[in-house]
Amino acid sequence: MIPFLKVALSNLFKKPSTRNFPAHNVEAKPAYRGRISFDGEKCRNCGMCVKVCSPAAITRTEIDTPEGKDIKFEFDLTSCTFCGMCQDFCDEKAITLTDDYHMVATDAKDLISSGVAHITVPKGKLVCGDDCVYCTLCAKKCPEGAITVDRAAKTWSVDHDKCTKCGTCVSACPKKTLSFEDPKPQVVALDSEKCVYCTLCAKKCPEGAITVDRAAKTWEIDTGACILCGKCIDNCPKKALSFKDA
Amino acid sequence: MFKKMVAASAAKSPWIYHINTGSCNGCDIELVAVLTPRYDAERFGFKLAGSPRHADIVVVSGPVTSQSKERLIRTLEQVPEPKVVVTLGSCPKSGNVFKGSYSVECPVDKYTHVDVSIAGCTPKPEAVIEGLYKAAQILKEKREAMNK
Amino acid sequence: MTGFFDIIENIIKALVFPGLLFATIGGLILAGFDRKVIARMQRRVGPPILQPTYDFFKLAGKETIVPHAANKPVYLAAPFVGYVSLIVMMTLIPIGGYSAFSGKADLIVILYLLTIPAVALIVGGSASGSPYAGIGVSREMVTMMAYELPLIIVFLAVARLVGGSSLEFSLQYINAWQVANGPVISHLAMIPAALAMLLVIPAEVGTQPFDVAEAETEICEGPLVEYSGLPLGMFKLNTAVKMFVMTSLFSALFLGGIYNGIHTGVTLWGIHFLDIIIRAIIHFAISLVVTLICMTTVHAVTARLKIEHLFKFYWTVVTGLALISLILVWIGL
Repeated sequence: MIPFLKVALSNLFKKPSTRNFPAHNVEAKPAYRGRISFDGEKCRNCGMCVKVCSPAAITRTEIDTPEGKDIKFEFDLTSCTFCGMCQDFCDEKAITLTDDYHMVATDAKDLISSGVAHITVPKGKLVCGDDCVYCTLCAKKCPEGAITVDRAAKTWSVDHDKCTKCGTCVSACPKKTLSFEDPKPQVVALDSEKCVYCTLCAKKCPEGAITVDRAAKTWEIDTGACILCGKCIDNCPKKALSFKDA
Repeated sequence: MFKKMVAASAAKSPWIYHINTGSCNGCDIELVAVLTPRYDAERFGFKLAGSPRHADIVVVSGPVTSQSKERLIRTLEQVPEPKVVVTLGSCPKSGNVFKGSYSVECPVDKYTHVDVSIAGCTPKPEAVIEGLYKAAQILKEKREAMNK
Repeated sequence: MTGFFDIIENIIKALVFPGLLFATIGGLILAGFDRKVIARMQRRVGPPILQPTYDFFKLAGKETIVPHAANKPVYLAAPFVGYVSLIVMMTLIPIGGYSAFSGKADLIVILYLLTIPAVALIVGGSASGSPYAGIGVSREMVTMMAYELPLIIVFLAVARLVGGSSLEFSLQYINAWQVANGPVISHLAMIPAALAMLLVIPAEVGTQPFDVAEAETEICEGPLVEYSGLPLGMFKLNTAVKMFVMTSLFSALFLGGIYNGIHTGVTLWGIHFLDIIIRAIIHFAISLVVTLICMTTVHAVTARLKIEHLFKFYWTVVTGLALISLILVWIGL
């Protein structure tokens, strides 16, 4: 008890160690994970943050606009664990956990960090070029798991149904060989001046979509059946066929 | 005059009752840290009360487990008016990582009106002080409303 | 006409000085200093001096809940009974050598009155019907038994010293004796008794480490567990006033007669009111010092005792100290 008494009495004549907090603001320590700030300009809507968020605090709402898509991201701070996974997984550094810890509100709406990302979705499908070294980086980065790469067999394939065209793989590719190819022309068109009605195109068509009448000199294509494979164009001896916009 | 004194005192002497509804103990530790010499919430008259009957501010931490739900409601009923309910951390407001669990019945909003919510997992003691200070001001407003 | 003025004077004595108002304000400020100094001993800033006052007013404005199991009239009246007895005690104790009402054996009256706040706590706690209050009440009773014995022996020692073989229980006379022979504490034989009294004060008031009955961390403030609103505020006020009453009693018993030199001669309607004010301030300062020594410092450096340890401590150490004084006084040292 005597040592305690000594400390108590000596403390009596010392300055209190209390921080004068509300009067003087106290900065958080470096790397403190506080209020989330979201930069919509940088976001590519890959959805990785939503996937890695363990308390499911991030919600995405899609709003269709003439230019593309507007996606509203809402980070519910009353649901967040401030683990920082979304920040770590965001390739575009659109999410940052700031050192702002003043997260006190009487209305829960004040505790939602939100931002709008303007997304222009590429029209074409994802293709892999000839420079591919099958490093599998694209497959690893893909938030939807749409890409499959086999290193041994040297194959690359993408599931177009799963692909959201976010572009994460394109920027992750070390060889810069991934791209969204330009949209394919919609129909096969005939230049009737060059055509000799040889019926070669009709014979080569895997779907049997082309009908050619040599006698009546007519050429017809069933656009619904056509798969735009381009075999007819390749095989035309007179180069009378070509892709054209619908 | 007496009523004015009472209303003015309401903001200066808020006693806290802390109820843990299945918290991981992180928020509980930070709440107690607020009473330590470094942060010293007693400057503003904050005091931890031993019984809900003595409390003005009820601080709820934890995601409201099925076991604690009944106790939470009973404790809130025992607090005399005017009272203020404060949620500490993410859990009581949303369930945090426990949301969707079979044993968790969050949020607290289902059972009572939450006046102040302090976000963070866990909140910094400074944020807790800020939240409790705000709660004390609300307490005063509620007391003044009772005068009318 | 004089009868009428006597009544007015008595009412002022009971309600303003040294009764209700003086005791209440003095007690609240004393409790405020206590909390502030404890905070400083723990290197905190601490609450404002007026914090107990704020607490009281806030509690006065809260809803009062009466539990179903409670006996309503007893439950609500208990804190006020305790308060009134404390105020009565304050009027009997000489403040700066000036006592409002004096009698032949007011020390014995005080001894009885001192038990009433504790009994009020016991009765109120029992009436609330809570098991926590039940534990608190039993502990409060044991605490009471523990400190009553040394307190009586201290009173006896003082009475024997002042009155000789006839025993003197009049505080007015004890004060006059101290004016003539110096304060009681200046007699070496009385120092153990003074120490015993200093140790009795924290148990009487119920501060750490002797707050076993109101242990808020283990039994939710014991007898007060169900109280809310104004009755709770009155109990808190009782604790504050009790602090002032007990320290006043200590200075009346052991430090009386040191106000001798103060005579300004300023009178108003035949009352030496300036003397009274100065003496009251000095008296308050002494109370403050006693509070800081026996309650604040002890509170800051100790943890709560167990009830059996408390009982053992009072019936051995404290009673022993008081007995030494009594024996020394009895054999005439």
